[in-house]
Amino acid sequence: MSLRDALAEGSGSAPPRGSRGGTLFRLVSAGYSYPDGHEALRDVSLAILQGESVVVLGANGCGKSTLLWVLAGLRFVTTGSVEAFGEPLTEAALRDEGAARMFRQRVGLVFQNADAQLFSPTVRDELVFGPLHLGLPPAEIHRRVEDVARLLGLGRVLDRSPYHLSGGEKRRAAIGAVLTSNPQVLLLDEPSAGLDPRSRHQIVELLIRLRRAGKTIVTSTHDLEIAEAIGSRAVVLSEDHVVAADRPIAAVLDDLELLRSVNLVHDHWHRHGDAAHAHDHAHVGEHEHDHHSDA
Amino acid sequence: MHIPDAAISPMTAAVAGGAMAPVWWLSARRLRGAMGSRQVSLLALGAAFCFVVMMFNVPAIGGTTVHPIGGVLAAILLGPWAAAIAVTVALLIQALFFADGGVLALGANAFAMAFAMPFTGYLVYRAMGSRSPAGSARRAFAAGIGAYVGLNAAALTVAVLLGVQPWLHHEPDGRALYFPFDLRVTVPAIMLPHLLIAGPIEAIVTVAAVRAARRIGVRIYGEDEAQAAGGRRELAWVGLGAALALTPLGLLASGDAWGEWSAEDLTARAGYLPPALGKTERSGWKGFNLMPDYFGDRGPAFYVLAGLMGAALTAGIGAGLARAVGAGGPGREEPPAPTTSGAGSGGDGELPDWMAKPGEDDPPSSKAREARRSVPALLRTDFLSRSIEELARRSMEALALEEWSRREGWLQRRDPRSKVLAALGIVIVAGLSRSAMALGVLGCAVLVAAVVSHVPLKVVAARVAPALPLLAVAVAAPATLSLTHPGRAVIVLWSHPTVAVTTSGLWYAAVLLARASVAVGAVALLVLTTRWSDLLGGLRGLWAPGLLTMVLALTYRYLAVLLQVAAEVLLARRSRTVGRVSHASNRQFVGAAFAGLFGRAMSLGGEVHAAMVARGWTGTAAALTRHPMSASDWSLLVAAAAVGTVASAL
Repeated sequence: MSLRDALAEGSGSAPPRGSRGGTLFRLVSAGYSYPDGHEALRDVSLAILQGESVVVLGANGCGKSTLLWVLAGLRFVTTGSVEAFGEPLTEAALRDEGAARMFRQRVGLVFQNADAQLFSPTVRDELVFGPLHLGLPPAEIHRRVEDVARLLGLGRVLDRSPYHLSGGEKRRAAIGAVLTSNPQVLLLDEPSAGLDPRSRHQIVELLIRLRRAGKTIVTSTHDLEIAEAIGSRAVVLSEDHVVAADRPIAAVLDDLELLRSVNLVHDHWHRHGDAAHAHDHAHVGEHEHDHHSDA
Repeated sequence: MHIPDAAISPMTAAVAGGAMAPVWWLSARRLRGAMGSRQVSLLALGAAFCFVVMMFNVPAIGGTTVHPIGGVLAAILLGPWAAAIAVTVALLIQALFFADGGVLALGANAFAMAFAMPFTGYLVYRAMGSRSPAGSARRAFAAGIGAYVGLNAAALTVAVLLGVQPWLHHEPDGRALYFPFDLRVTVPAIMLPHLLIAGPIEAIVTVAAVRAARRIGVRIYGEDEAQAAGGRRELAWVGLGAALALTPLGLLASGDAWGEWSAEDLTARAGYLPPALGKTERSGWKGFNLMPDYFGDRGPAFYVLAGLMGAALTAGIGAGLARAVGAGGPGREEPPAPTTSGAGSGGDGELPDWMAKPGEDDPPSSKAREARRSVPALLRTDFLSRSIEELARRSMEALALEEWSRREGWLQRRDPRSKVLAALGIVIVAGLSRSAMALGVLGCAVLVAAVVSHVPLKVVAARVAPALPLLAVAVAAPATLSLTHPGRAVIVLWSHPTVAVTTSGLWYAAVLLARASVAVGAVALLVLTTRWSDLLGGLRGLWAPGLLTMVLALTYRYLAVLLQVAAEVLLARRSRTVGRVSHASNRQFVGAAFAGLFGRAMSLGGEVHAAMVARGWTGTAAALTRHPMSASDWSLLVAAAAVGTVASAL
């Protein structure tokens, strides 16, 4: 069975909400080196299950972005193997246009650099780009654009150039551009980097909702607060590009020794308490919400 | 060296465009085959890069300016085929947005700068440097010579295209219909500044940028596959292209005779004696080769000097007028609105049902005004600062153009396809027309369209004005002289032999300027009343290939980012510089900064490309289906056709 068949088989109906189940991605001893020999990932083995919210933790330059690019099928491992939806994820497999289309529909990547990701003349064109190239009918595209604009509060900037947006708006536009394709797997590269507390909070809220809607989410970050709020499991990359830990998020955040060894915390760092507490703390002065039990 | 519309005949423009068509086609085909969709984003980068380089004006002889083009640099770094498309796109953007070079003349400008320049320069570079190791001094030298030769090949092409006009198109009495000077004037007038000033600068910039690019690890075209078997075949292609590019040189070589024709010769060949030539003969010279002693030089130089005398005067007046008209700029009555305001800007947080969960809140729908960005105030002491300042101002203006296209108005509501066709029609009719009445009708039509579209005439004038001084200097001012338009003298400039401003010359110059103004005005109005994305959609809906519109869209996108980076680089340098900076160090900085820009642009381009692929792009441009043209869209076309017909009949 090819990647295309595997994708076609699974595309019939959305998985029941919140279901945890099949393995969507499996990396076995995966490594990636840039053409100039610089190593970005070494011997990474991990699985990402349907409906999970995985946080990839690590200091700058540890390979978080590369890992997401590999999962998104934009870079291809130089050693080891990657499977997506039960089939090998290789450059050759994605050369098949049908397979590529289905893969791109199911896996969305929000880039770290919103300036690079937003290339269209207006935010609306940006939101249209994904579904348009995936071949959706125009009426459906318009509906999705309206819905996503409302969801992310982009209504008033829809017809403006991404160039004119504020940092928070750019990030939301970048996320919206991916959401209009309604991917099953959402990959986010440092979604909170450079955002003010309010915008950061909005992103956390959104990710929690998406996860409850059954999306599989992989977020790379070095922001332990949002990791705690959005993740169920943490994959920690060390500075020599290997997986240092792969455990439930709480267990990772309790392991001060581990966090210190991968340079995610410094000596004066302290935790705000358990996950729910940290989440509450972040919400002081904001509005009511109902997902304590979920955190 | 941008040829404006109306300086060359539509026929010449069509021939040049026809000559460029296979180059464009081959480039697109070759690039698509060679590197797939990735090339598109590289091209857009190259185009944006060339665009930026072309904005660095350097003072040349007699108050004019020349600028590097970057065509050979692009060819060395991206390959000549990619360079051809990149420079073409830069030219197209300049023509559409900056009134720099004509829209109809695009083919001619592209032939010179996007074909002759990169291919000639690249051939020289390969021929001289291909056997020496990458990074060697010889390679760098080869790049410099390639740049020098390439730029001058482009200049020569322009000189030839202009210079053949009086032979191709003239009235029965011999007066030129289009560009009034022939090769003997155009070649020295254009080549001299390029040989002496622009060429060396282009060479310095190219060498500095190539060396810096290598230092920062930008992959240089062809270096990886230098040993591969395909390398030779590639060279053959380049050779073929360069041979084609050099055909104007051949014309000139056989045309040594052109410069030496006697009046009888010319009469025999052309079938008539141009009155100007006859008159100069009567006043004592033979052709244009004889010069009075006190000028101390031979024919062409006299022409250049005479041209420059009138040009300096007209340039002063033209620049003053342009400044006066453009001073107000588009209305800046209000301070910018904040980009984000109030609660709810972050969204209601509810997922839409297709995303799993329904949501109900209404979106905030008030239209926020465009936030204006202020251009950083820069010192005005050297050409570098002036260039950057101009660059930032122009780009911000271009981005702010949407201000008018977003307003309610008659043209704003029309389908972009009908607008593109109507504007093109007016440009063509104006280009062909010689009657002042016809031009008046066309001009009025443009003005009326502006009024009913709520675009202030001042704004249209501000877009037209920048094109006029150049035209006035290059074409109109010399044309007022008795040398080209004998007639009743208004102002006598020189009495032995007689050089004077004549009534017929003034009339000719006025019609020429009017023709250009109408053409530029029509295009300016099209751009002012059409949103960029719609304009691209319109082009796509008409005839433009998807690749071209996609490259255009990406170039526009990169432009904003690149210009911002360029301005930041300059500011960063200023903040660390005390006192005046020498021109030499400025030139060094320009080269290094360009290379840095290029490196940054390349990595950004890679990321943008990945972002497109990740969202399902497979190399073809898709567009939401457009509505069919409505009755009022057709009415615009009919109106334009009616105006055109009336104008042609006058």
